[in-house]
Amino acid sequence: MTDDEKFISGFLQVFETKPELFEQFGAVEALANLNNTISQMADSSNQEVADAIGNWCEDYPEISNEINLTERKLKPQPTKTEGQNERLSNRYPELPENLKKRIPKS
Amino acid sequence: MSDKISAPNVYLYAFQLHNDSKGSNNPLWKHCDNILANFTDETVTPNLVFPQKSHSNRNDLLPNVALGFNSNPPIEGFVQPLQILDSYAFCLNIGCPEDGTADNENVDLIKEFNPNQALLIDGDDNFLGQTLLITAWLPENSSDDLDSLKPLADKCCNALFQGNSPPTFYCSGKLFGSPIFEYGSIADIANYRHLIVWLLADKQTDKDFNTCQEEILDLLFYRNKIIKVFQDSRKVYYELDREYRIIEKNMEVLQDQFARGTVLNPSQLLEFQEQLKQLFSKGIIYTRLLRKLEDYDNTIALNLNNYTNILQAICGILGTDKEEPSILNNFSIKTAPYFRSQIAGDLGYFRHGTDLIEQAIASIRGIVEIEQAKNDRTNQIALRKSEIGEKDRDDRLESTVQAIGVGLAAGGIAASSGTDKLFETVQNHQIPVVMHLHPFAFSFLLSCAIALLAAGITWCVTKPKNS
Repeated sequence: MTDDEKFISGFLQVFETKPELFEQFGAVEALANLNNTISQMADSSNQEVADAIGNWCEDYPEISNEINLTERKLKPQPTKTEGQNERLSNRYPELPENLKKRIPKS
Repeated sequence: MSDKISAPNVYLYAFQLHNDSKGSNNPLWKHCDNILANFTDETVTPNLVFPQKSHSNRNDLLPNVALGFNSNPPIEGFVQPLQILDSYAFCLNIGCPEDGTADNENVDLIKEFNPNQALLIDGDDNFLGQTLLITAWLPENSSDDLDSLKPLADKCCNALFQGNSPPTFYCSGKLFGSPIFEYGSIADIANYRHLIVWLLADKQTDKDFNTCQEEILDLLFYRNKIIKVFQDSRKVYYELDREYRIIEKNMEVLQDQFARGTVLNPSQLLEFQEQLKQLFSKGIIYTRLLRKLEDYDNTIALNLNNYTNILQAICGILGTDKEEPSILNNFSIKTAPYFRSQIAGDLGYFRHGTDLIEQAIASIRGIVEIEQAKNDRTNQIALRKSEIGEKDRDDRLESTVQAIGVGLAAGGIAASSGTDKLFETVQNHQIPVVMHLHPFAFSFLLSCAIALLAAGITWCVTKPKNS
């Protein structure tokens, strides 16, 4: 997921889970303007949509904070298959068996 | 400083070598499921999918990368199992969502992430180690001064370990813009536990952590491997030290034996030969241990190289200076080189042990060879004397047989040829003693005399000369 996709997803998550915030900070009426703007951007890229939402959020910093909060926790990502660097490796030198028996486990 | 933190989370990174237990049988997955059992009914082992033939250094072992779960609200988490080169690994998260539902919580909430010390793995010989990372958001507008935040970090550490021998503070710094505190003393390497407390103060920190999560996990893998190698090298060091002391004691005993004198009796010679055998055997054990120590140094060097490369990759991804992630850099420029210097010092000292053994073997071998040569010479002389005696006996026997043979032959010839004529001649000359003899007795005595004369001459001619 790109940063723009994450931002759009975060905005939708706040809209769905915390609608009271929009009322609390007087953003309900302005939502209609945003809706119109996005409706006209059907052919636009995610970056342009994210920028439009970002511009709209500039007047409502509390909502921006909330969007950022939704993206904060670490999300496990699949291993990158491209551009893997070479790693040096060798056979791990195991402890001699007689030593394992002699030394108590630390 | 307040004890309030927001959205605390604990990440457990654990690593184990494959070795003989590949696939689902590896003990690491059992440890992982045991930890999960404290929070959820989900288990990771049945869902693992292992790559048959992979050319990649790193493989995800779950089709969906990670297994998410919910525990008592607001606690949630995930586990991400992986295969990295010769090892398995997992990253397990237990904590609160960072959506504002767990803001301004007391530090004690962290205790719930580690019930019954479940996160502390007591692994076998193939367990490479673990790193615990606590992340927690600081209240807004908090100071990011390291000294003033240290008590809060200590409280997070104590809450996770619940006062049960928490690792000691090691160093602090800033990583990706937020204060970070590292715990775990290298001085007590045998009981080393690695804990990091990361107090998040900058939104960029989380983003960077997310961006570099793969590199950070790999970095911790190589870090834990290096620590494990050093821990194992200490075990070999203690064994080498023990062997070295025994060798030194043996050398003292040998020196006393050398000083006692140069003439050795057979039992002393046997004793020396026995010591020689023992020294050969000790030499093999000692050399193997020494090689193992060299292997450990080599392994640290290789893994340190990987660590440094990943650190450079992180700097490249984030576009920061190499000095920026100082707390991560600290390990590669200070801790790991210290390990290598220590092993180099040990090798320098213990290599003398090999010289001592070689010297002792050469000395004993020399003494044994000299004594052996002396004994061999004595034995040779005795053998030669015995051979000469035997030859003398043979020669005498041969001369006797020849003398008897010649005597009998001469006697026989004499008895059968012309003794009657000789008897008549003797009677004609009136020789008094011989005249009264019967002709047969005369013939018999004459042939006996001739036989004795012939045997005597033969004996004189063929008798062995004294050497």
